[in-house]
Amino acid sequence: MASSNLAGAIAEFTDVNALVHAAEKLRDAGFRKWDVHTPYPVHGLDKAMGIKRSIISYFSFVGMVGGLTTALGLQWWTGADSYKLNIGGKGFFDWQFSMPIDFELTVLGTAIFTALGLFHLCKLPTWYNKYQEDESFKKATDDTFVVTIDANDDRFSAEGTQSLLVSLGGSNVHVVESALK
Amino acid sequence: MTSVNLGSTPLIAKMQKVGFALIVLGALGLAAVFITGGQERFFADYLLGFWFFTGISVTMLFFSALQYLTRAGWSVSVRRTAENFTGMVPYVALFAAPIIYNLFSHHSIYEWSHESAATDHLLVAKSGYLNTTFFIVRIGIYCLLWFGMLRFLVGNSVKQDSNASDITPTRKNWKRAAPWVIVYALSITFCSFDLLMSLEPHWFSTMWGVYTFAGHFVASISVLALMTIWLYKAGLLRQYITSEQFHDLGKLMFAFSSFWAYIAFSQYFIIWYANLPEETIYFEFRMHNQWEIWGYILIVSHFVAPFIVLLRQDVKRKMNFLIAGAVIVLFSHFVDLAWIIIPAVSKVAAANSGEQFTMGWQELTGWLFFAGVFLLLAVQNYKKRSAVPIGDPLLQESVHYNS
Repeated sequence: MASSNLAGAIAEFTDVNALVHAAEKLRDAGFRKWDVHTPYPVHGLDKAMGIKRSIISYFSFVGMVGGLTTALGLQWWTGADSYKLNIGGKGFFDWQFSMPIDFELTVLGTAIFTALGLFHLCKLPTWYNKYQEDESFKKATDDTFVVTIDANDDRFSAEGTQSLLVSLGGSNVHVVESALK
Repeated sequence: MTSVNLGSTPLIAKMQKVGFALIVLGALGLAAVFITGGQERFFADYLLGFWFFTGISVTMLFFSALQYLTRAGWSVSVRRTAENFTGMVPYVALFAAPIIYNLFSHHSIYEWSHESAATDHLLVAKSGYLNTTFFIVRIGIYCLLWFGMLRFLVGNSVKQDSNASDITPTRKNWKRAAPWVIVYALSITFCSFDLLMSLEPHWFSTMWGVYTFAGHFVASISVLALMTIWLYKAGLLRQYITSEQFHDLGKLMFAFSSFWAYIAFSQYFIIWYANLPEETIYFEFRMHNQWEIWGYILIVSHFVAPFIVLLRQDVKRKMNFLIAGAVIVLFSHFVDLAWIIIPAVSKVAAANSGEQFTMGWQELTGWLFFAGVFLLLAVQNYKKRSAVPIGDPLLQESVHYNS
């Protein structure tokens, strides 16, 4: 059985096709708590890992509605309700001059919520990763693809998972102890 | 790889038949307009069809230049479809001849070419640019530039087909695409000044070039998407075209119908805010006299409808939704140009002979005629060359592309 501070198993890959193939196999084997770390974006990896479409657009939508409401509300309240100003004989709340502000604040609201939503979904900022002291893991920022399978995955077993990773073409397969107790 | 010539497929044969039918139908319609509707209306409808398809043909060239400029991988398998639809480019001068003839007729749709322009202070001041000789010279220059662009870009693209191991022709296009894009930008801008904006010579808009470009570009992408889908549905080019290409064409269609709305609103907004009589006359006239209905249709069909139809990510990969989007966009582009041309010419016709008109079936005739010409000349290109740039160094990237 896994000891209490076992982080998980790690494997290195150097060939991108072998990596994608391994990801497909791990997905089909039913692993849930695992990840692939690559130095650059690999096309088609999302699909191979079985990652569903991001829900980020719902964050964007909330930001869009918020931005548009703010724009309309602020212009109506300041210009047509609280302090009426006649500017060039235009109406107090004409849709024409309201449009640039509506557009800009809609875009701003959408952008802010998308960026914040992205941080949230990527669990940023993450100050500590249980693999971070591992030498193989560090190579993921340089020239190696790294697959990690967490020890708390239901299908994890120190021996079985390591031999699975080896059979998928992973090199330097080993288990990682978490530095945190 | 071997060349993929679709010249003898049922789809291309069908296109040819449809093209012939449209030409006959359009020519009969134009003749009917000439006899019953008056010469001004005839020339207006002719100009409408002519500029709709010339704009798309030249913008297809621009699309090709843009792919070379950015060395785009995704588009290689559909780029030749765009290049095949440039068939009208060598004949622009021929098709512009009736419009040039029109300048000298009593029924000229261009007010600045009338004798009475000599007594109009503003038109006298503008006569250094707006005179018949310079107009003809400019049209000639556009034709030459476009022909040069066609020969260079499409010429090199086709040359690449025969020898995949030597990529000199593609390199030439990569190097020279940027200047051709500038040539396109300037020529399409000035041509839209000459053919469209000068229909109302007292009026001007500095956003005119980019406004008409936005319409042409989104219409070109729609034609490209429609043709790609038809090829795919007919079982052709299936090893080259994937849902990734449809997705990207959908994105461009979505983006540029929004871009059109952005530019159209900006143009309107600046004129509305400044409220100067010589600028507002354009919208003032079009917001009354029964023209306003087409303006409202335009807002819905050129922006709201494509925006809603093409917004979702998965929808851009579904061919039937793309067809719906493309048809809506092409209809809107037609209404857009009609809304520019027909009210202006109606005004001129009223001054010439007292006959005013509103939109009717007549406006479709020129479009039908040139739709036929457009299709037939594309068919010629499909018979001549491979339907996929098989020698292109980026073709494999396009086939395996994953967005």
